Amino acid sequence: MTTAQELRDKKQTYWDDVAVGHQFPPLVIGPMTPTHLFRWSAAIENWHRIHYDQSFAIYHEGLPNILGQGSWKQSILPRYLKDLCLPDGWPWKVTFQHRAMIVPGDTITVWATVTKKYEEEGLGFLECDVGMRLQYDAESCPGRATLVLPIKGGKPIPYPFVPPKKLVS
Amino acid sequence: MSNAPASTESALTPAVKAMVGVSAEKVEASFEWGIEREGLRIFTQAIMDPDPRYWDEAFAKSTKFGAIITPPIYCTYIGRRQRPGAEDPVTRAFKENPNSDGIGGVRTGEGKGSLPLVPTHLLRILNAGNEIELRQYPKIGDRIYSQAKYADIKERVQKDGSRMLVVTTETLYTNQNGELLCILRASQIRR
Amino acid sequence: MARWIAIGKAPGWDDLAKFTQENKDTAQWRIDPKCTVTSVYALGDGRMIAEYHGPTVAEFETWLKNKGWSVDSLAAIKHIAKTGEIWKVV
Repeated sequence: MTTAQELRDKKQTYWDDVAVGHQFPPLVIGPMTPTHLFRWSAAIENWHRIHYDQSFAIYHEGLPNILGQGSWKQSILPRYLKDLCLPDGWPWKVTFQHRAMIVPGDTITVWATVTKKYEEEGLGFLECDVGMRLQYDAESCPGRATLVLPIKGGKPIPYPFVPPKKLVS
Repeated sequence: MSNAPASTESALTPAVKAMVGVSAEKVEASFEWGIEREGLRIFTQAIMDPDPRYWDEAFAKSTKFGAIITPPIYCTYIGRRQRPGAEDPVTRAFKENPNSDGIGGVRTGEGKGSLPLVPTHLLRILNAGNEIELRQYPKIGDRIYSQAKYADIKERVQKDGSRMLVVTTETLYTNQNGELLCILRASQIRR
Repeated sequence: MARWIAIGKAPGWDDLAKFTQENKDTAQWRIDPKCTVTSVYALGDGRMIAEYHGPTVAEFETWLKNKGWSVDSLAAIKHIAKTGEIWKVV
């Protein structure tokens, strides 16, 4: 887990310092418990019983246990990418799919590996493979992300972020 | 008798194709008091993100964002909350169906901002993946607006020859100044 | 998904530490994405009860064998009452 102090003191990773194949430091979360799942359901007012009612999840839905929420996973990946880009980069885009189910007891390793890098309008772009791997190596949320990191001596990344015209479909 | 077409017939009918580009009404996702700190605290603790940019005002002002911000896709969740004073949707759902799954019958809104249904006999829905594009983090006090549209509908033929649809919706989230905050593209398989 | 109950004996599981070691980790009870041992009970008389769900009973039988169980009885479950909630299984 990352602490508040680490995020406060986070040093910028520059585009120049990252090569294709670079693996960013992972974020490890877990083991997950029913309380973690319930806290998320309460936070976003998602009352679907498969996330907190074990009896319903197992006996009505035929699931192995209560399930970690897709919406939670969908929030964790951008949160991790945000951390990687701090303080001045930008986690522009992420796409992902929901694969292996998360159940209590699972430990999740959120990861990103650089697959491509390029420069556009003076900004440094990184394409990454990303995911949330479970302790038995199943991938729960495979996807791809585009990060924007500052180039040493280059211009600051605009905020609000405006993508280069060439990269907008 | 079912009126459903045989599985070998195209599911991408003219009526389905006509849904591409159809937009829902733009609606306010936030309550009239906008984004507030207590909701932000609860949310950030649930994603286990202790970032001081969410709660330390002095530090947040010193960052490039210039103010307390929210997590990247916070704005996509605030429209799911129950409005104070509304009839309790949980009680209503279980009154209507004691075996409610807690979501199907739990209606928290009046359907405002919802897209019209895709006119297809393919009723089974699976999540096919999402894309999130970020432009700006919401700030405390921001009012959030959302507008959804059908961005794309494609047909796929499965190994057994049956047809399925991949329906992609695109929802734009903007603030009270009309500035784009994020775009959520969600794809569903209908089969 | 069908369900089965096994009743038998598992050597050493009257010791909580061994019981924990052999049942706590997710990998111990989640046989594969479709097969789950949902409950294991250690009874006061030394017997054990395990409940399983999955498409077939074969994976459960393998699990019981790998755990070193001697199985006295293995039966499909028809329906379940859990603190007032009734679930029809098959």
